[in-house]
Amino acid sequence: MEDKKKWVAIFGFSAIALIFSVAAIYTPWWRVTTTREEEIMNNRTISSGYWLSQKVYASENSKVGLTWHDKHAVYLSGNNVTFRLPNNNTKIEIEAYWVTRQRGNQSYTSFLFSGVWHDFWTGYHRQNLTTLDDEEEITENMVIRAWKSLEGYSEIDMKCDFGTFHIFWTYNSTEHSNLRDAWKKGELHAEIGCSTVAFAVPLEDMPASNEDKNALKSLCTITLDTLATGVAFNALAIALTLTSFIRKKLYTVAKYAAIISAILLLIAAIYFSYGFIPIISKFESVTPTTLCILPGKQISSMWGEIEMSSGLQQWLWGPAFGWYLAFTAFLLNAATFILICIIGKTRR
Amino acid sequence: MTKQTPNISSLVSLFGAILIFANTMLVAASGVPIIVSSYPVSSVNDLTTSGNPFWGRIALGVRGFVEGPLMLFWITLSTINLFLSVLLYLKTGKPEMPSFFIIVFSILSIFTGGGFIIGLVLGVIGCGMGLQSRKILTETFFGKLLGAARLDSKLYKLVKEDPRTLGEAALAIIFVNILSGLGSGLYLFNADKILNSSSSDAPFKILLLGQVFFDTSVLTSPLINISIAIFKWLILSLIIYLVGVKLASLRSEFDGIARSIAFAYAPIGLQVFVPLVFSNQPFLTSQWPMAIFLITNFWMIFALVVAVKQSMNLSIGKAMGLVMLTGTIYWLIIYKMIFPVAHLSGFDIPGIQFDLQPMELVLALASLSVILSILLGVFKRR
Repeated sequence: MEDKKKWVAIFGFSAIALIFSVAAIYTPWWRVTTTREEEIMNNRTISSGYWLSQKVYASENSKVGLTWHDKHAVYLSGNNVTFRLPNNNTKIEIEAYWVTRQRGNQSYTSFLFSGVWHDFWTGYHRQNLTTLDDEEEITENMVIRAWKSLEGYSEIDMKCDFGTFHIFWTYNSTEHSNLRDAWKKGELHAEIGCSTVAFAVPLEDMPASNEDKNALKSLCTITLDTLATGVAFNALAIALTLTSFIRKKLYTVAKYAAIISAILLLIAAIYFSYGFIPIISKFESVTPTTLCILPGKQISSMWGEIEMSSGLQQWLWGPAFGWYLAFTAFLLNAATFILICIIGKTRR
Repeated sequence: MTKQTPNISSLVSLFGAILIFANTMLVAASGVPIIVSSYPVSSVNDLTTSGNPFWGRIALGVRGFVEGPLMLFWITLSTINLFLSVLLYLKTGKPEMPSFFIIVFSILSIFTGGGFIIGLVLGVIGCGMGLQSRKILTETFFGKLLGAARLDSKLYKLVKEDPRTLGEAALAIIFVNILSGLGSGLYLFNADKILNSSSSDAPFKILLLGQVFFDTSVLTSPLINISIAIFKWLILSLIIYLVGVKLASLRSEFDGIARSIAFAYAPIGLQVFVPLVFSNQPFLTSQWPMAIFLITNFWMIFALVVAVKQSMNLSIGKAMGLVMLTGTIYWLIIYKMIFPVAHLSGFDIPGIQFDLQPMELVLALASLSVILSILLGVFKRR
């Protein structure tokens, strides 16, 4: 019984380490994002993540808050721009449909945008998106389906030439089915938004010299190779742990596989963190230029920030989840090694 | 004394360590503290304007501690914590050393969310019991505190009959009041920054970004709390002894009563969780801290009834009557005589205090408690 517990503990540590190290391949290793204060104050979030697969995944999320409405329209504001929905006379040609639904004791109102989209808050995207301009597409069924799948929060993805355009809206008024009553009584909490998500830019297309791009590619390749070798040793450690249930002596071999895996994962993490910054700091922009320009010369260390004039942070960068996963997998493999050593010692 | 297998305590701490590890990885994934709020707001003004419904937020992680290279330290700490918990569970050596480190690491995990808070609590309780693994579970210090909070009558009887527990009783008072003092000190310090800050910077950081401001003055609160609490404990024990033994002719010893009463303070330790939630007004200054204050104090009163019942071998009705009467006397002495005098002498008592006005109402309630205690048979001879 005691032996079984120990075996489960060793296997558990190894298995989690393997999951983490494999996940590290499929998650970004370095990121630069706008901060929460930027999101709250300016209603936008921009994020770029560097992956070992030599791609930069970028996203933008901008929010528009409900400010006022009258009988015929809803007025929205975002990034110092207030506009009216629906609006037939001005440059902003956005129509909004809103449908109120009763669910239990609560009523929900759904907003749906359609028409030609102009980016009214950042000015970064000038593409006209007409995916949802077909009246037939905007049916109540669609709205109802969205509510059912995501309570209190709805979203629709629209494909366009540079990525996925992601519209979301949330709305709930606590007791009142009537929007105006709810608003007047201060019981209205609304968040209406729109964001672009998950468009990937190959390293090739990043604004930098070919020399720097090649250096970054080479860094990613070497890191990925080291990581993959670490994963292989980790898998070997698991296999040996499993077989050691039958042949107990294989514990000893498993511990060497675990420590080699740990060392490789640590090397991958350290190598990336030391090599990445000197290269990225030479980039003209560390974010894809379709989003915004953040010059690489501003990046001088693995972790860092840019402050607003008010002293609050505007940009924040540092290792992303993949890098942390690799580091944690190193720790877990080291823990496996120590655990096997301790158990071996107590047996003797 | 029977030796117990530390399985329950090690299992509790293992579960706590898993939660702490998961929470730390979640914070590493997001790169910033995770803030859960009742509904989104775009500025502090949305919260300070009157007539708004309740808004509250819980921050998992402390801003300024998780964004930079310090995150590596937290990840390492949570992994070592997990490793030590596994070692403890596997019983590979003496439990004292890993237990001690798990307690320290669990407390430090508050900077990354404390394993959704539950992990921290489980880690501390599990390993607190693990530290005394040569005793049976209910005889450990944390086991006794838990038993006291669960209103376990056997625990109070055990404490009353065992004179060796006097040290633990004093330790219970100190421990509980460190927790309560830290909680209220930290909360009041940050609430003061939200309400009285000249710029909107501090309220913005505390309410919307999850920052918790800290100052050495926050630490003075638990220190003062300890001395006041020991003083209050002795006063309360003395009043119960004088009224119960000398006035109502019940049989008991002063130290037995004092030991039982010390453990009845256990629920007050929950006040450490007050700074978990920051909200908008008027909930910030009144409802939320007052709710925790009332819940823990009423809980303590129930614990006190059980403690008095066991230490004086009374019926539950008689114990309630005695607690009501002595509680009233105690409250009048502490809050209407000693604290106002201390205040007049320029000594401000920190923490949240409960006051009743006008004096006529206080006297009416005091008279009512005397009548009720007589009706409950406090002065009836056996």
